[in-house]
Amino acid sequence: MKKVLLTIIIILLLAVPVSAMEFTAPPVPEAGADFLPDEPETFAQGLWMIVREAVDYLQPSLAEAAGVCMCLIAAIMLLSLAQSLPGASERITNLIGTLTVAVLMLQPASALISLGVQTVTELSEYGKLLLPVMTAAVAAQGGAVTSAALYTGTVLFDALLSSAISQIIVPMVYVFLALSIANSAVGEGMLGKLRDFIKWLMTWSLKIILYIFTGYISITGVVSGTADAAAIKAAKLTISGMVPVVGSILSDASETILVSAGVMKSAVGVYGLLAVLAVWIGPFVRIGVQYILLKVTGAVCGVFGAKQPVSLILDFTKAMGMLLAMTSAVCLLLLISTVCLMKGVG
Amino acid sequence: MGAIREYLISVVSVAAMCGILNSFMKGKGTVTAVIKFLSGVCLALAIASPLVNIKLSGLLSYTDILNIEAENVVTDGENKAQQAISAIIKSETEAYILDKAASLGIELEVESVLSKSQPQIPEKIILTGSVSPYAKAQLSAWIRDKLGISEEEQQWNG
Repeated sequence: MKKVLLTIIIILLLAVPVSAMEFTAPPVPEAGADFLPDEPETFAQGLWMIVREAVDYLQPSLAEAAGVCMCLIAAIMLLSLAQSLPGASERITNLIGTLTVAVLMLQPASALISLGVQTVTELSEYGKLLLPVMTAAVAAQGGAVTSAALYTGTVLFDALLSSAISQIIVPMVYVFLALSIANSAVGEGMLGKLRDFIKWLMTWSLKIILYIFTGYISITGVVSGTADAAAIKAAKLTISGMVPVVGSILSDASETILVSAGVMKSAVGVYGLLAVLAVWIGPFVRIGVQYILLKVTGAVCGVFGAKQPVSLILDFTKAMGMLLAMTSAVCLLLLISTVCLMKGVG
Repeated sequence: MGAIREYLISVVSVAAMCGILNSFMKGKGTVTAVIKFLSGVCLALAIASPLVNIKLSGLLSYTDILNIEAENVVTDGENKAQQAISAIIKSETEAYILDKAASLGIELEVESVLSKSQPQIPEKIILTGSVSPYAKAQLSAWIRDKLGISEEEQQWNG
């Protein structure tokens, strides 16, 4: 019964001549098109579609990551054998082990870093298309102050985060890996503190940007929401002071537009949220699988000894963790801002 | 990415060289200490070199551009809503008059003109069709009373 009533309301809304006001979500970028092949009817359906495609994507990602991890385990096993040979220098074997791990891991790590950077760029570019549509829909619904503040804040923080990732965090990941390799090669933990500082710097850069953004969004939502609510109340007062028939026509027209803008805003928002998730999920699965398998590899290799090369494997795991954090941070930023814009006025 | 690869290779090479050098140093002599110190300096230089090139200028002036962009987007949304509201008001007003005209047995065409100021309300009515003076007076008075549009703002054609 509810569905029938909802359909009737939507048909009635569409029958009103509001063709001048159309808000459509930008299509899913190519990177996410595989995860959201059809236009979903509901958020839950779309989410299920993305999860199902992501599970299918898990298999090739696992095979790719497992190959690297098997090579690492084999190398560490051989190294521990070499270390147990009489007359073997621990320093030399550690150096060889470090170089082996570095050679085996650099190519996949570099590919995953490139994937992370590409994902951040794609998410950011999609956000630049989605946010103006959502902002205009909220403004059409009477939330001019809220939408302007949310738009400015989100685009600014998105630019900040993207710049921080491409100009600071990604080079820092390389610096972190370089320091880890150097530390493992030199031994004695000479560069350990510097490496830990770099990791701390990367983690906190992301955290601080997200904390400030969340704070900004929370405060903006309350302050500008009140201003918009007051403006809508003032407009209603103006209408109520008019000639009854004109006031009634104006009131009906405004109400229709508010409702239809709300319906369109929700539709754009839901599609936008799913599109953002579709772009993010593939790289997240690929990097995440590599992260988990490297953790397992580190634990398995720890049994064989070869402390420094194993520690280097764990450092590569940390770098993968950083990649997961940076792609997820951009995704989270877009999800939060889209949800806030969907909430709209008051 | 080519530059990053180059950087990484240079750091790894320096680290490897330092590692090999240090591996030949046994004991705690002055030479070992100097080699260790020089290794550290070389590595620090190799690692810190790209950090010098980080540029964050221009990010602050970006906020001004963003504010203008936000204003444009909001105005676009408001304009779209206003256009849609105007279209509804116009058609509803015309339908309302046509409904009354039909009840009076009048056949005519109606066009409403909305005010420029906000909120846009009907300020002028153009009525086209052959109407008897009695019916015209009746409809005219009804428009004045119900819609608040004076006889001067009612344009009768035909």
